[in-house]
Amino acid sequence: MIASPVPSKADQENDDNRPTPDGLLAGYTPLPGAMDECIASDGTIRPAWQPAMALWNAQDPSERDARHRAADRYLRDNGVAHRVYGSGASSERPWPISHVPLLINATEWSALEKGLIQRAHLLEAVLKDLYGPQTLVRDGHLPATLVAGSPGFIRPMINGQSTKSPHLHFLAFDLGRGPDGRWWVLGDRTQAPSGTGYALENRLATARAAGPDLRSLRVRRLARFFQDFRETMGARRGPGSSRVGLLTPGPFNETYYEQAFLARYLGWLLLEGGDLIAEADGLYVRTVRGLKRVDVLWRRLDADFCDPLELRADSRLGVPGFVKALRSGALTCANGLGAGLVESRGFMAFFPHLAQTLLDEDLAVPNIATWWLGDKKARQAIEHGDVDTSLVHLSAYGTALPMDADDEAAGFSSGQRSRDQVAQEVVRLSTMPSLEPGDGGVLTLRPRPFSVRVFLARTQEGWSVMPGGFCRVADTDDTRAISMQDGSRSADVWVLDGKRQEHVSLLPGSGPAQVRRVPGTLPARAADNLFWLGRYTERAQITMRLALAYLERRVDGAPKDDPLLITVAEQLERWGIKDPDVDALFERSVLPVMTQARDSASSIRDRFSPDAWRTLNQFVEAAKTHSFAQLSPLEKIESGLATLAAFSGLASENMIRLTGWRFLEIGRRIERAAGTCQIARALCFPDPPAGTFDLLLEVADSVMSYRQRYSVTTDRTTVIDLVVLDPNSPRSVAFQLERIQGHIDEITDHRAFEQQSDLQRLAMATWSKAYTCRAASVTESWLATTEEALRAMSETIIKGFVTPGTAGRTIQQ
Amino acid sequence: MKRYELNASTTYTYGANAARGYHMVRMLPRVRPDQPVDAAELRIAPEPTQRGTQIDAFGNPVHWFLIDGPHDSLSVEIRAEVRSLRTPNLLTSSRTVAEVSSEADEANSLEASSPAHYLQPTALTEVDADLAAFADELIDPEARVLDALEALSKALYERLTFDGTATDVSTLAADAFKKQAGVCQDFAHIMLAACRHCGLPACYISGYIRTDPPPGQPRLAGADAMHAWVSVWTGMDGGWVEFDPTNGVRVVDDHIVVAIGRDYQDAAPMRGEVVGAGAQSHTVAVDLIERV
Repeated sequence: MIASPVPSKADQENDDNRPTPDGLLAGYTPLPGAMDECIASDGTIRPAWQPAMALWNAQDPSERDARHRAADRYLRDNGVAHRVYGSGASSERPWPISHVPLLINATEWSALEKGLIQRAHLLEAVLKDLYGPQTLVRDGHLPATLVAGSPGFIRPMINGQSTKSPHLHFLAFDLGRGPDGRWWVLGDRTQAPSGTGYALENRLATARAAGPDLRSLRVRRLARFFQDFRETMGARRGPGSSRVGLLTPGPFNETYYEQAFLARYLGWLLLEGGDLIAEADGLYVRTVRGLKRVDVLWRRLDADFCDPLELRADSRLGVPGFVKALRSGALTCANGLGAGLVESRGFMAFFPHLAQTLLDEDLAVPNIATWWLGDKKARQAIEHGDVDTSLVHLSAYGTALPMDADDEAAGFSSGQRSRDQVAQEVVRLSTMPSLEPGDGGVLTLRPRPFSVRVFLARTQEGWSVMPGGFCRVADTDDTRAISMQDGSRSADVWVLDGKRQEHVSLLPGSGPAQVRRVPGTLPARAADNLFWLGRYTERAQITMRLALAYLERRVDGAPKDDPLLITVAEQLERWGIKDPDVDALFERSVLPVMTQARDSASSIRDRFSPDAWRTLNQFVEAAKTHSFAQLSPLEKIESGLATLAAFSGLASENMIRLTGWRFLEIGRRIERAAGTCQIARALCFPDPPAGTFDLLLEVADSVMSYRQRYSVTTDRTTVIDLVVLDPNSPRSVAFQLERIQGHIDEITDHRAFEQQSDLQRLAMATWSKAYTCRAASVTESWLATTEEALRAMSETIIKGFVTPGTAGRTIQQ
Repeated sequence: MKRYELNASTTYTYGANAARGYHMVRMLPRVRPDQPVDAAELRIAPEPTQRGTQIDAFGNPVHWFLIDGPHDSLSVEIRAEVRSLRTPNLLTSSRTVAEVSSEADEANSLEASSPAHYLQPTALTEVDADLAAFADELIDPEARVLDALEALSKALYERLTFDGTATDVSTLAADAFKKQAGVCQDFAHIMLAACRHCGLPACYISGYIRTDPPPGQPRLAGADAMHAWVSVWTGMDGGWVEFDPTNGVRVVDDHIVVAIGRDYQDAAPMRGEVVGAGAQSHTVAVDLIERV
């Protein structure tokens, strides 16, 4: 039961007339003892790389530079990020891309595909046995201690996986190429593999930088793979209007960005454990219209966190009763909860033999040589030095790639027994070109070790391999340090095809199976975030307009003790600004609200246009820079207002007019109406100082409308009429009330909550009151009552739609 | 043979009205050839919306229930009649610790009774340097396994103080060992950690211990709530042998087994989640009386 490396055929390329390196490749020397992807051992360029190198060499360096910057900008602007854990706080770090893709020709790729599909079948067969009859253990093909000791062995799933549903739906293999030119599996990823979304983003970025190259080199497209996966998952839904969800650990997970991106791309609900409720017969998502069934779930949460009742009791990310719902067979979970079992590296010692036992075949793509030391013969062979390769001793249950497993090796305690250990061959990875600044800052290609993650999805036609992958390129010559948590970069993987590529769009909204977004399936958590996003952005705008009105008057020479400015300063204090004259006014009082808005938006990134999020995020990030700090408070506010105007525009123009949009709208309009009421009340009563009405028009952003309608002088009745009552002015209180009433009508499900019909009545009554009121009758108390009604609506919405569940959960032990 | 009547209850009082609660209960005696259960009943208040039973991966019977609707308390009461047919072991293992450990490697089953499940430390039973040193000192790989286990169980009984305030359900074995104090569950976790550190398969048992002492004997510790002890695998021939380190005894017929697992989490009497319950208080009452 020992895997041994099979010697491979020598390099297949024997063409005598191949070009030798020059241009970008001048001075490029493969590392001794390692294979290089681009340059063959005889010093010539390998055929797969020749057309690409010719293209790149023909490019003007400044054009190349511009293209690379476009790719970088794409990734930065879309907020493609990877969360990095540091000591204490964690932060998102930008996504570094290596601009030279890994090239693989179609012939080699199809051999690889075949081998990986074989391995996927093998892993499924092993899981099926271990969670079922367990004959592999009984007949001595796999040691019981290895299976039982693996953290991915989810005991409640023994005999619990529905026979209709396979364990594996989506998996990944980490591959490296050895010095002999063969591809090796370095690790199996069956728990909840990450990286597909990043691979897609890398492709979108390189497409910006090298669109024409992609076409002329006939690079295989990725979209079809995702469409097939989406269709297959969709077809697993039960009857009725159930949805497909992506179960995420939430915004603090290192690959949350990717999960939100994939959910949006595939048109699936992005769900946290708190969004879900398990009943004995299945899983439901709490939406603004009550519970809706979910019976297909792409799981990105590790299995042991999925159910605090039957798995890890300390998990706050799961759903109590999840295992039971799954065992009932009503739910397809991709992958099955027990699928992570075969990630333990100890299994690699057995796969070559298991392929024989279960498939009656040899592994077409071998894994790196692994010896399970619980086996006496293997142990003796290693102890006697019979193995002719350098080895590393690691935990049999670990899952990290050997070159990432330094911590595991270092933490290996003497208490661990031979049955808990494997010896694994030390990998020497091949290298590929990476563009890096050399002498004098000139970009030159250098050979860098890499590994590549390849993804497989189960489709209606069987296993399908994504024609590309997620490539990690080391930033040193050391092959033992390729982790995205370190300084390495990622690269796109191009599978070069002889055939013309049919065009399948990567953008959502095309292709089949796109009919979705049924109103009412908005998760309550998303509604909550959208509502607050609306309120925060509006609050920031009101605060800024008020501060702007104040500062402009001060700049014009008005003294601090001007009666009007005293009133405005009092108002500003109510909006969180203590001293409007300090330089740090913006940073202290406006930026926190905008940051809250950005954070609300961040946890629902799957819900609206990336452009809108980007606008907000760029501003919040830019506001932390030194150059922003050099601006005057007035300039900062003006730039903040411009950003929010752009955000509101993008959010409302690009968002589908469904339930989510309505919650965003209601939040904005409630905040705007209540803010206007409050400011009008404070400024206009009882005896407004000179200039009050002009200022009110400024704060309500209604100066132009007023000028068009009235003379230059302002008075209470006309200003109040425009700012509060005019149904045609988009800034007036009455206008907001009308919209609020309409939205509330739309989001109300009369069958679900009695509470909401009270809400409808309140919204209608408040709007009618404003609609039928005359300006002269708008008193201080009229405004106060309206403001009060708006607050009541806000509270009812929070209570009625964000039902208990996201808060107040406690685990009993 | 001893015949027992068992009454146990556990009650949670919530500070606020809970909207929903989902629970799994392991409180009724496990049926075994040497532990026939003649009657068993489990009452839940308020009345659950849904309930049912299942057998978990360790062969324990589990009662699950869901209460969907406001409730400010939860009580689970059990009543059972159970016999213990257990006698002191006649077949005893003559193996050494090292021999048992390598016999465990030969396991070719993943059934609940397979030693393979009970070799790895769990989060609660990880050793630290002190606990590892203690285990290494007490358990000589060349000693006969039963002698080593007797010594370990006795040592824990003598060194640790039974103290209901020193620890809670999430206390790690290593931390309880540092404090040299804890309740039955800590005694059990420490013994599990030591055994597994020395390569011996060991499992956690939760159950009851008689609350009325036999005539002329003191009352056993751990009788006021559910009790916990350990079972250690002593080789193919010796099989599983139960020790109660809290009382420093081998288990015979004063103990009634409810559930087994790798640690407390697998065998916990109640695991559940309540929504919106606020602060909670919890009381437990247990009576295991011998019927003569």
